[in-house]
Amino acid sequence: MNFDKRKRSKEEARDLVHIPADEIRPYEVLTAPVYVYLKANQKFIALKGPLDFFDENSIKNILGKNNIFIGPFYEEAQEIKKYAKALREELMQPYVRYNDFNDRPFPDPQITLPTYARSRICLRKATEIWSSDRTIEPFVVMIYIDELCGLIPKSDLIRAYNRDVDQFELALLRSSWAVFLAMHLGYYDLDALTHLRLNAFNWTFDLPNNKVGFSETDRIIKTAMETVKVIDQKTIQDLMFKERDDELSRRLAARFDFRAVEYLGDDQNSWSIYGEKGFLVER
Amino acid sequence: MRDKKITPYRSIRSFGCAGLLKEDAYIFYHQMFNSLHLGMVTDLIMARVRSAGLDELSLRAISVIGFFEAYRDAIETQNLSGELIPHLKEPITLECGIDDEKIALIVRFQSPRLMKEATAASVKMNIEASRPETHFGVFIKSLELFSDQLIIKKHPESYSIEIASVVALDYPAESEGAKPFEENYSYLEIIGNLEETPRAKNIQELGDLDYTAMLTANREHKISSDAIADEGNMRVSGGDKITDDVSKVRAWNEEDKAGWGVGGGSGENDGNGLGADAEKALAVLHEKLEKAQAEIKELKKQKGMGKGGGLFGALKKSFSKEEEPVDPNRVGKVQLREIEKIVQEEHNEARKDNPLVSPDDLMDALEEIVRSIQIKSFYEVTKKNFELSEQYDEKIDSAGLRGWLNGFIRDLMKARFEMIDLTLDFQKKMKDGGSVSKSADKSLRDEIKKKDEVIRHKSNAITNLKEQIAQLNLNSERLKSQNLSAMSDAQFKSKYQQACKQISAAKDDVSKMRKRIDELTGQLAQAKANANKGDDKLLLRLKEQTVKDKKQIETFRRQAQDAVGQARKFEMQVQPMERQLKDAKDKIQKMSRVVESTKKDTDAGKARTLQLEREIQKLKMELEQSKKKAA
Repeated sequence: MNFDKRKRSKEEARDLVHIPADEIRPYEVLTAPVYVYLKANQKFIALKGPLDFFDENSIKNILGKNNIFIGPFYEEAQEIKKYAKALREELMQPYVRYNDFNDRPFPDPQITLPTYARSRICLRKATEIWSSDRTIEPFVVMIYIDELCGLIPKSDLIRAYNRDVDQFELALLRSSWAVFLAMHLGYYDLDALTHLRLNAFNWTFDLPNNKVGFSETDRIIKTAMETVKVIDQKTIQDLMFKERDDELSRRLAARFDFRAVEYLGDDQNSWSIYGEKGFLVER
Repeated sequence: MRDKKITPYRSIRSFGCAGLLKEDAYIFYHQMFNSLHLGMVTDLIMARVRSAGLDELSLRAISVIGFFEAYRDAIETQNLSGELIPHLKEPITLECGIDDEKIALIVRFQSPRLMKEATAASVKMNIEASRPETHFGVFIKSLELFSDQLIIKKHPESYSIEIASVVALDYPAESEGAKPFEENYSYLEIIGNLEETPRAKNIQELGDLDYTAMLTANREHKISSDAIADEGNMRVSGGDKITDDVSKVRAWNEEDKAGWGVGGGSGENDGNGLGADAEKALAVLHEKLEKAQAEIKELKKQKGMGKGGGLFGALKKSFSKEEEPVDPNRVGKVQLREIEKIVQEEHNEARKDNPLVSPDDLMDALEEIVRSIQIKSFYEVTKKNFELSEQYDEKIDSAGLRGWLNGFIRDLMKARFEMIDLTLDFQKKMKDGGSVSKSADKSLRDEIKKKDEVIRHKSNAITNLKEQIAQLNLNSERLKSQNLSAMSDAQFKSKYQQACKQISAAKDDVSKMRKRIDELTGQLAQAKANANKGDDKLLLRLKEQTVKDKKQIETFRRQAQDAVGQARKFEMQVQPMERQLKDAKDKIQKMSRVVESTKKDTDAGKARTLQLEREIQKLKMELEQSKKKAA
């Protein structure tokens, strides 16, 4: 992904975050540029940009031997991830809990959560990362969904990266957006969301837009592809679904309206990859 | 029920409730990934549509049967049967919509298996069969029983199947162009693109409803106008209030109740008492019922089915004709026909000018009772009949008729349950009697079954092979498309940019190394000059330093050579790419030229059409002027 400040001066160290090399997991999509300090040049040089990843060897050979610094957006990303973790914990709650009863599991139906309540929790939690003006940046969604659904399998990630870097990055954004839309449509099952994400990720490569199928999940992926068109798309406005004339968009528009009334406040946190804390300069 | 009139569906070739309902319909949907809490989901649906006053248990049955068949099928398709509570990867969508005429309950799911099994012929066969043999058959047959119309839509391209049960409201609004249900079921296979689902006034996820309030309110729910009004004020999306649909339903009820002309509108009858003819007719009916009860008693004594006539005679005859176990549905139908006949006869005799109670209405009531006995449990029947008698209490002004009707219903209920007991006894008897002759047949049947299984296995193997071949073909096509897409322009462009970046980086490295070599040679020269000055210690140090520096220079030289080599390699790689890029650019230029020329053509065409339009206007003007002149 494109980013500004590929080289940073020594004085800019205060803006960067020093992290131990073992904090970076192999094949985890990066949320901010990763820098290494070159003593000779007295400069920070970017090793990898956002939406890139390290493999095991590079972590061992490069990151293990140098001081690693990461862009200021890393802290913002950690905050977004906290929200995702909270939802993940909520969705990981067992559907049926058990009490110990004569050393055998015994279902206690009183403490289970109905499915529609889960669906509502999904909506409420997902609202936490929307801006007050009903917009969201695709990159923010990517961070949220990456934390919620976990890493994309290594094989799929490498295959996509080797085929086309631009398409790989677009696939990351689109697949996350597809999962985010599904959450707004009442998909509350973590396994199903993860499955949907992988499908959407692979379909960016394997299927051209016009050949996407007709099932509900297919149509979600298609909508995601149509609404996130390019890698450098700045924001997504939920009101655009009101202008679209298809069943899925109508449902989404209704749900977004409901969410706006019930959960969206004027003091919402907003995160942006543009500006001081971001890694892109607004042009 | 099926004679109620509804407006034709807005779109039958699309998925979703909206196509079956009017535009001002309210639609609720929910995605289900497992079977847990299905009851709670149906609670919520029922709480939402209860105000329409339909048979709640039938609607619940539709949701539950529909969901479980879809779930069972999905578990098999997705190979999840090993899990304790299988979680689906593709959800099952439950949708419920309501307008002022009907309720539509929809189950939508993906099932590659049903793409083969659900055909027009199999649907027809299963619905017409008294006992369907397959899961799918039982499934659609059950849904058909509870619905006024069952609509099965299949879309083979997405492996999706949608089963919609349409139930008319008790008091549907009268709309222009409304027609009775043409068929009790409809099957549709949609080839190609699905139609876009029409717009509905309000579409809502079940989770967005204020379910805590709804379910709490429903605990104290009474079918009264106040309760309906309260329920209508529940929150919906965007902070709106649903009041329209509920008030409409209420309005239908009140309107219909007011317009229900029992004893009204006739000059002879004052509306409070029954006419003498009707009293007579009812007395005859009562007598018939008593006769039927007496016959049942006799039958009970005999414990056989040899003699008898009247209402249950036909039933007995039907039993004696059939050797196979009795189908309770058939029993109900025979009785219904018999009752219908009696009522019609009595009505024809008794009716003169003004009927007090329409035979159609009475028949509806009786049909309702008999139907309920056929398909429902004791609780449902009692509940339904209680509601029915309440309904009649309101509609019938005469205390005599009301009393008679209540008594009639009670007696009929009694008779029905006695009859069911008898049926069960009879079935048992038939089973005991036929067991000897059946044992011989059984072995033959077993053999036939075995052979059938062998054939089925073989046919399955063949279908598997076919599927494998199809899969292989698909894979080969996909591989071809991948190869083609790999050469796409965007990819080529990105590779070219990457190569250029690498070359520039290598060039930067080489220039840096040259600078460093220059610096080192300068230091060396300085060291030599210092050595000439005769400082031994410094000389030694410098000598050591020079040795080190020489080594470093050598390594740098090697690195520089490698970098230059790499740069050459990249250049070699880039050259053909550049050529390809040039070709691509040429092509683009050609295309743009073509586009420009076509643009010009279209502009010229537009200008020409404008000119022609003007000429036409002129001619019209002239024509009008000439007309005026002529006038």
